[in-house]
Amino acid sequence: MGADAEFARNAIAGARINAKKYGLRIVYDNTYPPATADFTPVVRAIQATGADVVFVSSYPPDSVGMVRAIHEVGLRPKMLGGGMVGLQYAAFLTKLGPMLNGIVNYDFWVPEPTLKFPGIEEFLKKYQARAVQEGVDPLGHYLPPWAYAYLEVLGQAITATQSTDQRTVGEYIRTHSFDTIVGRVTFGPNGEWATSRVLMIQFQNIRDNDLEQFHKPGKRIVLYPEKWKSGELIYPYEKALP
Amino acid sequence: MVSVNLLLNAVVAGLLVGGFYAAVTLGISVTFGLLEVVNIAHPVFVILGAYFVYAANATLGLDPLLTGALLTPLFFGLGVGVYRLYYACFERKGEEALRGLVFFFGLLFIVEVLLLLRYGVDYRLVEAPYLGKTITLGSVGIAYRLLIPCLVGVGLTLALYFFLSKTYYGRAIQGVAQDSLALRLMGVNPVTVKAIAFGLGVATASLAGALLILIGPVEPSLGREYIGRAFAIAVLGGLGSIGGTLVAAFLLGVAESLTATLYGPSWALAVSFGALLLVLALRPSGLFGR
Amino acid sequence: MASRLVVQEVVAGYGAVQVLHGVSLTVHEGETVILLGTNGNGKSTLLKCIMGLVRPAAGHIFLEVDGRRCDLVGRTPEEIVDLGVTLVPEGRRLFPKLSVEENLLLGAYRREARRDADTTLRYCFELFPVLAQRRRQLAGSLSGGEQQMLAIARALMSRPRFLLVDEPSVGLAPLLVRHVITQVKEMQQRYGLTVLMAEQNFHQATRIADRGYVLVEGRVVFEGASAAALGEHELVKKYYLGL
Ligand SMILES: Nc1ncnc2c1ncn2[C@@H]1O[C@H](COP(=O)(O)OP(=O)(O)OP(=O)(O)O)[C@@H](O)[C@H]1O
Ligand SMILES: [Mg+2]
Repeated sequence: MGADAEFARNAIAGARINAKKYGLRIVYDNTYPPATADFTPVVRAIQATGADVVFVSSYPPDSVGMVRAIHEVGLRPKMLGGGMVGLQYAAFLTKLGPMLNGIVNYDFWVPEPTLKFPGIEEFLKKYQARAVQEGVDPLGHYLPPWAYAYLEVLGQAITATQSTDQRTVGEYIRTHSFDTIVGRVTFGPNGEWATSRVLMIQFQNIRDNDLEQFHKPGKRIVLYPEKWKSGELIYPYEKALP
Repeated sequence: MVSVNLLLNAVVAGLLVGGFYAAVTLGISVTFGLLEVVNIAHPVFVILGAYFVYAANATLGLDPLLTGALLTPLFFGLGVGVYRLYYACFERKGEEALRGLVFFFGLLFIVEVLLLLRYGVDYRLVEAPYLGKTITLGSVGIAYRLLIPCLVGVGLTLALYFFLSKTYYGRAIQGVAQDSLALRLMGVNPVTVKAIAFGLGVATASLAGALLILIGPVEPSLGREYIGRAFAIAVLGGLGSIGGTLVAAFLLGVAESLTATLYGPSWALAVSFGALLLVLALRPSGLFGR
Repeated sequence: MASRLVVQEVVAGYGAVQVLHGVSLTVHEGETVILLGTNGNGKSTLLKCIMGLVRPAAGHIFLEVDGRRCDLVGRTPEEIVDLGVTLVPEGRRLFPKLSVEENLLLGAYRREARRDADTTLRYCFELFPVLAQRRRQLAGSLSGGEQQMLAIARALMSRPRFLLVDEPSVGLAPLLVRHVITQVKEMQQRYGLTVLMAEQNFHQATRIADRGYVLVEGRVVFEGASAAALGEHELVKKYYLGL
């Protein structure tokens, strides 16, 4: 299930391939148009199929709408989540609170012990101190570390090559590894990261709507990639609910 | 296999969201339907209302609906001001057709940009104790998040309907676009009447904004998504018909919900606009157009 | 004290075209005065001047109500309606997409009229029973005759002291003209109205008129002190009586 838009369509295409690979039968495959105000009909239709795994790829307002509708309808598959944009923002985390429990979703950085790379704490401290007065996301876990890491990579490449020539710098970036606040980064021949760094996390043990809890580990458990795994998947989904 | 239960829930969900659609559309039914002012900025007033509601909720912890209701006089004033400006710049000179459209487009973008500058691009949402609660009637589940907007939408429709059909001001508002000179001969100043009507139309936006942000998160350009649907409902119901707006909103809500349930949500908008075309082909003035 | 409507040396027109060249007339309280004149002689223009719809280039128009003099020139039509002057306009100008009843109630918008709106409405329905039958019908779907009755009734709803009527007989069958004119008289007597009526149907108009003026090319060429006197005038004979 996903938005009728580029990102969501790509994510769903990937989900289809993976479903096939693991021998999962697809019982419901649909997109929803922009400005869908109410997701309860969709969630009920999914519920009626009795699906075990529900993969959702949605944009921020829709992600909130989906999560709310899932709880209003009482959808209880064995696994739920996927590519829901927005479930990384502090504003949504605190508003949805315990409704997030059990959802498995992508993320880029979470405060788990396995992801405490050198420099990340200092970076976040600095960011969070300013975030409140700037009126932006007070956690800053989602995109800011990566944005900072991009510039670290560029900075290291320029320092090492003593050049700002695009070709020279580009060549250096392609052939070297970099230590950043999001860990050691190496690029593969296709220009993407050599090994995927997108995390799959599960929301666990969220008790209330307090922001403070999201600063701490144990709420967004890293399940994948294995290298940074910080806890176990609670399965089925229902077990993670309070 | 489609169960009766599923259908029933789909119809209820459609009615619930329909009531909300009515709340968003009423302002257009008044300003565009009755006054014939091409107020495509209405949805952005709704967003503005949503942001005020958000701000009051985030800083003072005020209830969204309460803020929405308290803001109506302010939005009424805003509407009066916007109409006066529009009248002075365009309508008085008889340039309302195309330039008026540009004026309201401009207004839409200006309000959007102001909201962006003040609140940024992040989505905003509110807290209220009733959000997340559901009542169950038999096999039908009704979320407060959708029930409250629906009830407010219906209430707003009724209030507006009675005001327009039972009061002298209301009847003057209904008559003003038909023959403003005749209205003057009844001792009514058409510009004042239009300003009041426009103010009323915009006043509905603060409540509709509260409902919008109860249902889901809001960002500054979200209003654009509602222009098509809201104008479709206003036209479907019959321009200027307040009761028709509610009926059309319910119809569209149920059509979308049934389509989403039975065939998949990607067809929902296509079905509603298909229904609009069909109705217009059979009844060019809409369901309840005079 | 008595009230009256006075028009003095009014000059008016549209842009460069001058239509009225110094028109003077007076209508006293309780009188029914007719304004005769064939097409294009300025009857409607004069009524529009009184209502504030056309602004005279020169001259005065004033009301005297209970000894107080009130200039009309420069006032908006709304203000003039508020002073108790109502026009049944040329072309009726109904609200086509409002029902008969809604049209009538809009007539009673004026604060003074609202108090008695119910009674006036009932009286209008007595006067024109067909309107009562069609009270929920849209005004745009009425026949021409019904529309004219509605226009007159709507003007009465605003409870004017001075009622201006612009050619009520246009497009009506002879029998209906008679009926409508009779009902204008009935209204006039019931409410003690002062009536100024532009009309081309000489016979019907003079049935209810106390006196009249003949307007030719924007000038008053004859002032008939009685209906009979009007019939004696050669222009009237020529144009209206076909003599
Ligand atoms: N809005 C206008 N703009 C320009 N000229 C006008 C306008 N209205 C009327 N006229 C002209 O003024 C003159 C007088 O018109 P008016 O309507 O006062 O005549 P009338 O006596 O009422 O005629 P009728 O019996 O045909 O209604 C006519 O020559 C007409 O063409
Ligand atoms: Mg005329």
